[in-house]
Amino acid sequence: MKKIIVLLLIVSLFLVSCQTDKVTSISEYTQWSSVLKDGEDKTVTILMWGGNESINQYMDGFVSDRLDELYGITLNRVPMNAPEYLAKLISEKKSGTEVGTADLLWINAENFRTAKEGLLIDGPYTELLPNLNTYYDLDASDLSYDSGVPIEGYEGIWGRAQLVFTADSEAPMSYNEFLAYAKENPGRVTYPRLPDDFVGVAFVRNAYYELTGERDIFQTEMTKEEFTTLSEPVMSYFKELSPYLWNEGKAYPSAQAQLDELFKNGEVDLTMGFEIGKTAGLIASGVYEPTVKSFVFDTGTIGNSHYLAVPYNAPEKAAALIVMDFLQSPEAQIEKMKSEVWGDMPAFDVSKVDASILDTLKTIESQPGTLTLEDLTAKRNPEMKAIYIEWIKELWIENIAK
Amino acid sequence: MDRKYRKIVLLLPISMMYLMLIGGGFYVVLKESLGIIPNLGFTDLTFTYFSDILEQDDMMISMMYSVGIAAISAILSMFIGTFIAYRMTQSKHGNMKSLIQHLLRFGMILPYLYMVFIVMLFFSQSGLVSRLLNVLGLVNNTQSFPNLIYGSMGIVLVYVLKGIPFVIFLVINVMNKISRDYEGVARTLGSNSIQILKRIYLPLSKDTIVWAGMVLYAYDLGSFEVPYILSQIKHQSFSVKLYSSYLNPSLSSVPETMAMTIILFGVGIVTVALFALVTRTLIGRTSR
Repeated sequence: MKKIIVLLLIVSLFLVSCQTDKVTSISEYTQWSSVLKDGEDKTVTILMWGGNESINQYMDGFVSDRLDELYGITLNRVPMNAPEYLAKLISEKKSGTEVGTADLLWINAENFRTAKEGLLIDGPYTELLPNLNTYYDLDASDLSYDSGVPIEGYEGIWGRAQLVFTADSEAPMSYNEFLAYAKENPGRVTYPRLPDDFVGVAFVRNAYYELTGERDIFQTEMTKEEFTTLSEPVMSYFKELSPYLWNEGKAYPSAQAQLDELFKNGEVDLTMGFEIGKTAGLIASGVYEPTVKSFVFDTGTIGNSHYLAVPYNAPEKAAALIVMDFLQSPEAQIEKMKSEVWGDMPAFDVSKVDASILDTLKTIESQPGTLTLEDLTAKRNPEMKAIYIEWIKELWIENIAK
Repeated sequence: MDRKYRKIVLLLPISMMYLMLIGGGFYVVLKESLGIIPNLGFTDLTFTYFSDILEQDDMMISMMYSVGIAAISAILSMFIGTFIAYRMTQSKHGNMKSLIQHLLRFGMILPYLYMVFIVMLFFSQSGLVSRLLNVLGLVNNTQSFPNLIYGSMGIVLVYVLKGIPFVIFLVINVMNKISRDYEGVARTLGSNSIQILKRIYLPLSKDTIVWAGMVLYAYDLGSFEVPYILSQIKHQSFSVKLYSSYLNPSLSSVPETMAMTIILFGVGIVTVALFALVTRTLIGRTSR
C-alpha cells in the first residue's frame, strides 16, 4: 500500500517537473548559423492533415530521408486536422503549458487567423530563412497576406494549390452547369458538408465569383450585413441545388475523404479536392479508370496558398525552422510538384531558380493529363479574406442546414 | 471497523485519481463556460453563454433529437438483448450457444466506427445488399435502392447492433445463475415459455437489464462519431453540434462550447435517472 502511494507521489512529481523549463522564443535568433547549430540532430514533430496518402508518402519518404542526410533531423509526422490541433493548442495555452509536443503545423487562412490572434504560434522568423529569401518573390501578395491576414513573419509559404474537380463522364464546367447536371441526374453529385470540411467550404465560397460576378470585392472590408446581402444569389443557388444532390441533399458527405469514397464506389459522378496531381496518381495506381480526368471550371476555381508555422510552445524551434527551410528549397518544391508524388504547385519564383530546376518543371508540365501551371493560373480565383470564410460557414448552416 | 478502514484506504488511490481527473476536468470546463479563461483574455464571470445556447431553438431541438435517438436505441437493445439472452439460457444446443457467445463477444469489442462501416458496406446504395438485389434483378439499378442508413434509422441501427451484445453479455450471466427449480415448478403448474420469462427471469434480472440500458443510453446520448457520419444536415444530434463548435477556429466560441458541454452533462445526468426510473417501472409492470 505504502509503495503505491509513494509511486503515485513520484509520478505526480514527475508530471509537475515536466512543465518547468521554458523554450526560447524564436525571435531571439538573428543568425541562420545559430539556428543550424541549435537545430541539427533533433526530432521535429509536424502536425498535418493526413487524408492524402501521396502527401504522407512524400513526407515519410523523400523529405524524411533528405532531412536525415542533410541535418540529421528525424521527422515525425502526426496526422491531425487543423481544427483539431488548434483545439489542442488552445487547451495548452489555457493551461499554461510552456513545452508542447508539436514543432510544425501545416496551416492557412482562417486557422492562421485564429492561431495568430490567439498567440498560438511563434514568430517572426521569415527573414532568417535562406531559401525563401533567395528563390522567392518576396513581393508576391501571398507572401505578405494569407487570406487577408497579414503574415508579418509568422508563417512560411509551402505551396500553392487550387480547387480541382475529378470526373469520368461529361462533366459540368461551371456552377450553372453543375446545377443543370444535378437536375438531369438527381443524386449523382454532392459536396462535403460545412462547416468542418475544408474542401466543402472552398466549393461554396468559390461559387461567389461566378454567381455574384464580383472578384476584387472579397479582398476589401465589408460589414456582415453587406456580405450577407452579397451572398443572397449564392445561398439561393445552393438552396435550389440541395434537393438534386446525393441523398436528396438530406445528408452530405461528412468529409472530402467520404466524397472520394462515394466517387470510387460509383455513387456520385464527381469529386473535388486541392491536390492537383492526385487524380493522375490514382489513375496510375489503378484506383480510377484511365478515362477519369481532372479539370477546373471555366469560370475559375479558388487558388489557395498553404503555409507552415511553429507553435508557441514547440520544443525544437530551431530544428522546425530548418525543416521549413528545406521544404521551401527548390529541390523539395520541384519533387512535390511531380504528379506521381503530390502534384502541388511550387511557390518559388521561376525567374530566380536554376536552369536544372526549370528543365524539370517543363518536363513535368509536358506529361499528358497534367493541368499546367498556365491553365491553372488562367482560371484561378483569388482567395477571400479569412473572416468571410467564417461568415460563409454561418450562412450555409443558416440557409441550408436549418 | 478495521476492515472498513482498510477498504477505504485501498480504494483511496483510484478514487483520488477519478476525483482529480473527472472532478478537475469538470471544474475547468465549468469555469470556462462561465467566461473565465484568463490566458485567452476572458475574465468576466457571466451566464450569457448558457442563456445564448438555451435561447436557440435549434439547439434545444437537437438535444431532444439526441435524447430520443438514445432512448429508442437503448430500449430496443434492452428488449432484443434480453429476449435473446433468455432464449440462449433455454437452448439445449451447446455448440450453437458457444458459437453465438463468441460472435457476441466480437460484436462487443468492435468499435462503433467499425459498426458504421459494416452497416455502410451492407446497406448503402452501393453496398452488398443493393448490389445483390441488382444482380437478382429485384431493383433496376443501385440508385433505386432506398437510402436506409443516412438518417435516424441508420444511427439507431448502429447503436442497437452495438447495444444488443452488451445487454446479452450482462444479462445472460445473471439468467444462468437463476435456479432451474423455479422454472420446473412453473412448468408443472402449466406456465408457458413467455410466462416463465415474464414472471421469473425478468423480475430476477431486472436490475441488470436496467443497468445495461442506462450505460447504453448514456453512451448513445454523448457519442458523436456515429451521428457525425450518418446524420442528416437538418437533424443533427447535440453532440455533433458540440463537436463542430469545438472545432470552430474562432477563439470566441470557446466559452460557448464549454457551456454546451455542461448542458449536455446536466441533461445526461437528469435523463439517465429518468430513463432508469421509467424502464424499471415498465419492466415491473410487464412482470406482474
